Amino acid sequence: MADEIDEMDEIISDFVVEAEESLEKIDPLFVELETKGHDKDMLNEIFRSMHTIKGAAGFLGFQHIVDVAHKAESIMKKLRDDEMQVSTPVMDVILKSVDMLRLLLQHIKAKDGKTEDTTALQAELDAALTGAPVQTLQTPSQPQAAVQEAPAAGRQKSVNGPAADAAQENTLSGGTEPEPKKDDVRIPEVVHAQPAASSEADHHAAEERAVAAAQTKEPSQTLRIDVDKVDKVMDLAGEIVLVRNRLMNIGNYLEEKYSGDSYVESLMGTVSFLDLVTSDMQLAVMKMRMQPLKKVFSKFPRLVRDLSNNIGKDIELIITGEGTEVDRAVIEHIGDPMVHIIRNSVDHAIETPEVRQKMGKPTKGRVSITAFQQGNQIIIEVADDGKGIDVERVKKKALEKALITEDEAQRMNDESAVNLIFMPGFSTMDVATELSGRGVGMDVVKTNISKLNGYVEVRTVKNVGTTFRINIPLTLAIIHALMVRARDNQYAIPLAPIEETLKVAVKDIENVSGQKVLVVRGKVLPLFELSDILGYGTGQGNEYRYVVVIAIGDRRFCIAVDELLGQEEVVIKTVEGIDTNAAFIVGATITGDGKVVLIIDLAGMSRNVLGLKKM
Amino acid sequence: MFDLKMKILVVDDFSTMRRIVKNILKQLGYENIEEAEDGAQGFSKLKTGGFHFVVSDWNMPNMDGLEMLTKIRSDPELKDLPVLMVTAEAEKDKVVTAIKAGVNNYVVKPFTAEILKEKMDKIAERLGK
Repeated sequence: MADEIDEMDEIISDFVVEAEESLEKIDPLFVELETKGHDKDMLNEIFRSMHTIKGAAGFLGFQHIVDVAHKAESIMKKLRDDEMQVSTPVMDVILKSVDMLRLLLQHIKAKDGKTEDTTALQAELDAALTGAPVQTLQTPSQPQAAVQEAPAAGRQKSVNGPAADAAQENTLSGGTEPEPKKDDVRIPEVVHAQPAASSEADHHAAEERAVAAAQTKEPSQTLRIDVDKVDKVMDLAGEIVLVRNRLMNIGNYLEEKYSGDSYVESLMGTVSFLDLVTSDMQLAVMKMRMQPLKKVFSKFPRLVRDLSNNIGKDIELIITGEGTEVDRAVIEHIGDPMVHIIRNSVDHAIETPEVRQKMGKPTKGRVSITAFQQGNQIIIEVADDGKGIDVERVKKKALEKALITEDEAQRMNDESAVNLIFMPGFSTMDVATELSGRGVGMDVVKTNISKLNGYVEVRTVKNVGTTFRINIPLTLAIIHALMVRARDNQYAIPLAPIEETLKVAVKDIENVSGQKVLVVRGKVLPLFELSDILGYGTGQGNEYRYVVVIAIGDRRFCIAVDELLGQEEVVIKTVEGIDTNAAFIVGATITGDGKVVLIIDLAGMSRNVLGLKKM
Repeated sequence: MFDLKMKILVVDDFSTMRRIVKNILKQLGYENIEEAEDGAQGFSKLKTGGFHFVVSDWNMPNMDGLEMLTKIRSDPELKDLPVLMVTAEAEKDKVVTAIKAGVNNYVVKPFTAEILKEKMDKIAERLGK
């Protein structure tokens, strides 16, 4: 008896997982349909989704799901078979059904015994099926209501064609002259867009298209595995990396001491082989956990659509590089910060169509999300062509809230000042709007991203736009690091942001208004003693310093240490119980010779030492 | 009555559905069950031999139930294989087409173990088993 119950439980949870996935897959289709109009394949996909969920739910006795899915399925069938026209009110009702199904599935998942009242939605679905004017019981906002009146008045709002666009603009702006025709090539709203952005993005988009073309559609062999199992393997892989490091260390020592001994030679050969295999395994394990960013990005088109409709703005979302793969942990935690940034763009940055028109900007605002891999990093950029961040206002607010001093405000350049928005307690809009919660959020964004060992920066140009750049390391747990000694302590500096290392004579280090600087390849860079920054004070009587040149985003600076100890691949272990942010460390590792070494947080350190805030 | 040891193929593109049908078959006492996720995969599995019964969904990507049935009926080795079509309430019109193509019986989802037994017994009866 117990077995049957377990079996049932498993079947139900499988059903929930699959149903949710199915709904997730069709989400972006809705927005695409609004611009493409009638696309039989997409309509069929949505139909099949409803059909399949209805089928399984029927067996498992989830009547509410059956009812909603059944009605939605019937509508989709008519749309697919061309017996009914695709229109915004109809798609809205289907979207509502998707939301309701998600809600119902969540209740099942949570086993909370709760359910939802679907009578109102079912009535709407019935109305839509019979072609009656769709009476929505909640009107989200004025523009939406105006659009719904139109069909009744005889202007069928179909979603494609220049005439319809003119009609839409008409209702939105309240009766101005409709544009005679739409100029320009229609840019598909989502996903397959031609990026107008930087050449970096262009290159990656081209690469992507090539890959997509080369892939043939084959039914894939997949396996459903518990995340815990994969994590366990990852942990073990990490331990093996540490063991390998130790072996190599011991091997090197033995090789020096007993050079020529055949056993030692053998050992070295075997250790080398182990090295290769470990690297391969690491890569393979890492890839196991990687998934395309599409999983996160797929809900954005709808988000932007709903948000912009709610406040009467016209915004298109262009996504490039959604095929870029990242670690699962990133997939889980990058969504929230991105939603926040997107909401800010839609809510605060992009102007209303009227304002934009007056400024000579296209009335359609644009938010573009670009993701690509750059060496060991994943870069995600969220850019808008809105009004930009008012840097002066930011500085003023920061002063008011005593986050910076007068002096700092004076010395601060625009690039640094705009990154003030990431400080806690900071809000560029003191008036709360329902959309962005309390308007405070950027520091939460920063915190969430630093949890992924990444960092975020913002660039802005007044009236032109703003770009948020999120930078996340490819592997969360294992990185290449440069080991250094500062006074009596050994530290690990992540290799990726290191541009070069130099040995300089102390007399070559200049001093400009109390700040040490070094001229590196013709550029003057600020220089800091690592032991200074970490609070150990400067050493004395050195003739030479070893200097590590760091480049993070647009910031470049130098860190001076006593000795360079070589590169090592290290496993980052988190350190609990201390304020790692304040201590400028991302974690610790165990080196090849068994020592515990702290790993430096370069991003956090750079923000501090380059004068953005005093702790 | 069919032999409880017979090998059955369950074809459906939704894995939860396959699980559910498999469960119901097990409740009826059948243990030898295999799965396929669309008509194409189903047909190739059948070609490997040894199957005595097919339970198939009708609406599947790649190759749907009707196509698979047609292939089965035109294959010299498989032409007499009993096929039970699983259909949704709204697809009753497809049943006629299916019968013309040679399906043995159809069952509407959701169904219980009793209903499935009835349908299978009917097929057995007609086949003189």
